[in-house]
Amino acid sequence: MDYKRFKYELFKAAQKQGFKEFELYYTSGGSLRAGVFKGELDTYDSNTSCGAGFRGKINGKMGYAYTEILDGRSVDMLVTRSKENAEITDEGDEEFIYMEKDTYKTINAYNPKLESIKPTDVIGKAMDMEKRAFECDSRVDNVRACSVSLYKGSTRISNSYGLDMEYTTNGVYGYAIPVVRSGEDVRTAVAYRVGRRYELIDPNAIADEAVERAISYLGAGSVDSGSYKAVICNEAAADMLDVYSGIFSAEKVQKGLSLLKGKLGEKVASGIVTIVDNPLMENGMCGGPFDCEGVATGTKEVVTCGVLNTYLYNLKTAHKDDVGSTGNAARGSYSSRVGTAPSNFYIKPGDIGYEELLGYMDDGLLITELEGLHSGANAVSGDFSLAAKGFLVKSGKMSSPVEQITIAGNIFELLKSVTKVGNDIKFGFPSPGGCFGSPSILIDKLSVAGR
Amino acid sequence: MHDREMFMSIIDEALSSGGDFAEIFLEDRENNSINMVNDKLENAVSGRDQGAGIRVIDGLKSIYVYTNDTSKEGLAECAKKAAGAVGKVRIQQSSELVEVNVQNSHEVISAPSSVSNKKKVEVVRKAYARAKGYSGEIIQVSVGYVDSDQRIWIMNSEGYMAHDRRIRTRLYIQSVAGSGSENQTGFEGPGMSKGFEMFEEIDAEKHAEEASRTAVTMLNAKTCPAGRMPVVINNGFGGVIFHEACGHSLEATSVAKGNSVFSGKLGKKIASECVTAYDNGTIPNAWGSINIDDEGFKSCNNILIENGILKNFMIDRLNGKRMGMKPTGNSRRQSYRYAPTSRMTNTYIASGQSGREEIINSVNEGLYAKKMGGGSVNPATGEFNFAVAEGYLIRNGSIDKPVRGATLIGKGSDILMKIDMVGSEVKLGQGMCGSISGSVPTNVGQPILRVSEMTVGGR
Repeated sequence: MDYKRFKYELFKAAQKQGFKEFELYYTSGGSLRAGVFKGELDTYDSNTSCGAGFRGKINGKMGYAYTEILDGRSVDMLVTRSKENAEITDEGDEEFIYMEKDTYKTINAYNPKLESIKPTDVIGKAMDMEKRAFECDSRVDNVRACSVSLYKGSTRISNSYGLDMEYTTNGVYGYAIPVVRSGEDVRTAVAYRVGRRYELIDPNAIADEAVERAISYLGAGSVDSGSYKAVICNEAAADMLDVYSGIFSAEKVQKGLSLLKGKLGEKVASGIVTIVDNPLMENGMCGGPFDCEGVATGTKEVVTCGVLNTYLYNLKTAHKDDVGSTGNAARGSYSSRVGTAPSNFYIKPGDIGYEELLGYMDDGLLITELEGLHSGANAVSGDFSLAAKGFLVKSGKMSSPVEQITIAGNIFELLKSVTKVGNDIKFGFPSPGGCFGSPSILIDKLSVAGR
Repeated sequence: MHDREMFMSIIDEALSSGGDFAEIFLEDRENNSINMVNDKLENAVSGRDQGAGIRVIDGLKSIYVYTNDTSKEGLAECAKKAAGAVGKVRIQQSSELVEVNVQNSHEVISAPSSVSNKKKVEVVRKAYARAKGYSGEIIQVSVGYVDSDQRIWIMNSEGYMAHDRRIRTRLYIQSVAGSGSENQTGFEGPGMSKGFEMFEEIDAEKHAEEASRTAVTMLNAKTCPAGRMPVVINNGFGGVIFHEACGHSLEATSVAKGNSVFSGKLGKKIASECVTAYDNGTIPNAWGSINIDDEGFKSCNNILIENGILKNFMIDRLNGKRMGMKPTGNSRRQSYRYAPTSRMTNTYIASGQSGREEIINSVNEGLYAKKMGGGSVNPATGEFNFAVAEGYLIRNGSIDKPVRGATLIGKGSDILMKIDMVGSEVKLGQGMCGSISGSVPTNVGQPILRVSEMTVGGR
């Protein structure tokens, strides 16, 4: 059945089961991806999919269930299972179904022009990108991945207080991972673009950038263990912010899983660090006018000049701290419960160019890639020990490439040791957990394990 | 709804514009999860995933289309889309579908749907209480229970039709020890291809205590010194080193396109002589086991490395075609949302000759990685990194003080050569492995072993 009919049947059944308040969260969308290998279309994926998450309150406790088919059987399953699930949970911090009537901003997160792009065009672009990668340098041995994707997604929330909101977004992304070889020395690197304008996926620019990066790592070696001044480049810094964004979650704070607990109003970073969450950002790939509980979103500085202003709240955690929701309620998908997540989350850029930043550092390390972030970075303790790649910098100029090193430290100390912030902000790929951006940053002391 | 005639017409439609192979993967899966944190049974989520994916292979090209609409019309629409993407003329007819009976090697006694929520909750509460009560330094515990009941149907243009059911249960315990200014964590995650009867075999409370013990030990540990040193890696989840550093590079996904350091190395020595390794999806009721893979091939016990010599890869249909080699029953996917590709099942280094004491006693100054955390690898270069969840220094042949924050980095091809002592008792550890066909349950494993020299990142 269609959404309207399904919602009607579901809400009727929910009332009958004794739910006092309830909500339907529905996402639908589709994507198209073309990947090429050695001049041929290699993978072509296309899909349309949807899912519906129901949550309802009985005796002050919320129960959850979800389905991927909107039919009569699902109506029964959703209300029965969510009731059972509500019954087994303990009374704790109360979850809410949003009853206010907010005014929502309109933001432009949908580009209708992407609708008219033909699959053959997407394939062509991926082909061009791979071709260019092979042509632009004789040391290109292979192209491990090369693809272009289009996607579109809608989110709709309806609740028993009459809320019914929908928001649609789309985007395009492309990336190439060439493998370059010089004798036995093999290197790879990735370059990508993600956005809402199709022209952004410039096959030549992406291929050139990826190949240039991979080649720059040829001949890389380790460095002596020790303490270094370091520039962490924009992409790597954004990855760090991504991994540690959970420390700003009110839920983590309230559960004692963030060391930012009790630090509101205190200095948690260097005075030149400002961290912003902007769900309404122009060209932002995450966010939207409302969060997944239906609360209107807004832009805020989470950290202003090093001082912690706020955590990221949903209705439940805000109620517990006796503040308003910051509009950061989020669900990983319709199958997950409501938690919190940032939207477009970034370190505010300064006014120093990248080269200038290296100049300020004079001698030190430029860190361009971090690996093992999901295992080597602990969001609870803040400790990290990560495999890294980059370059030695001498007198402000990039010299030899560096690999087989790890950088180690603690995020809370790292945030305090930022001495310069660049102007070259770049955002990574969007995910349900947010879209993270950062400029390159200069750190006065970084512990490096190498030789 | 699972009508043979209908499936045949869908497969036929998928091949109408060319392509030499077409396949339907249909899935209906129930999931339950229960989570306890902060002394409260915080939430429980149940749900049903249902959908189908249609794949057409045209030469070495793979076209994959999926949908939630598994009605005849929905599937026909998918088949049409897939055919449209091939865009040539028909070269292949589909064959009559003949249902193959799948032999179940992973008996389940109590399917999740037959067990009351109350019983599941009881396990969670008991584990929680034990983890929390372990020490006053434990400031937070999170216990998760998950079960899944996946029914799959696979039909293809070679006339193959089969149905299978996979039931899995897992418990997660994360303990956090804190001193006010610092936090350290400990984790245990036992899981099996079993129903609720798993808890007759697995002592949930013992695992809970173990998670807390690690957290408290690490809270009171000094940071690990950095440098190059011999490393002894414990059995069980320690096998993640082999999984990340070598296993991924032995998947046809990276081998077939020449992206792996092991491409073209069959029959050659890639590891030290004391290394023999298997990928075995047939271990009864093991977390990573399957009866048939997601293309319908029977799961096997594959020897990957024998006494240091590379014997075989893990191969799926499409990459097998590229490599001119037979599939090995390793093609897997998270769900109908992913085209299948070669993945690991239960992958482990086999037992060797050395005793545990003998291995530890052999190290003058080094690191003992008692428990490993996760890691990742670049298959093209073999570079890996992973975190040590619980580490100790070894001094003068015996285990000394605990150390935290250690990371092991290196290259898969190097480390395989540097394994110079292998213990005798293999243990497996459970994990979820993420790759291009999504997240799939896998076991890693090994006996305790020694790597003569590795780069240890610390502080």
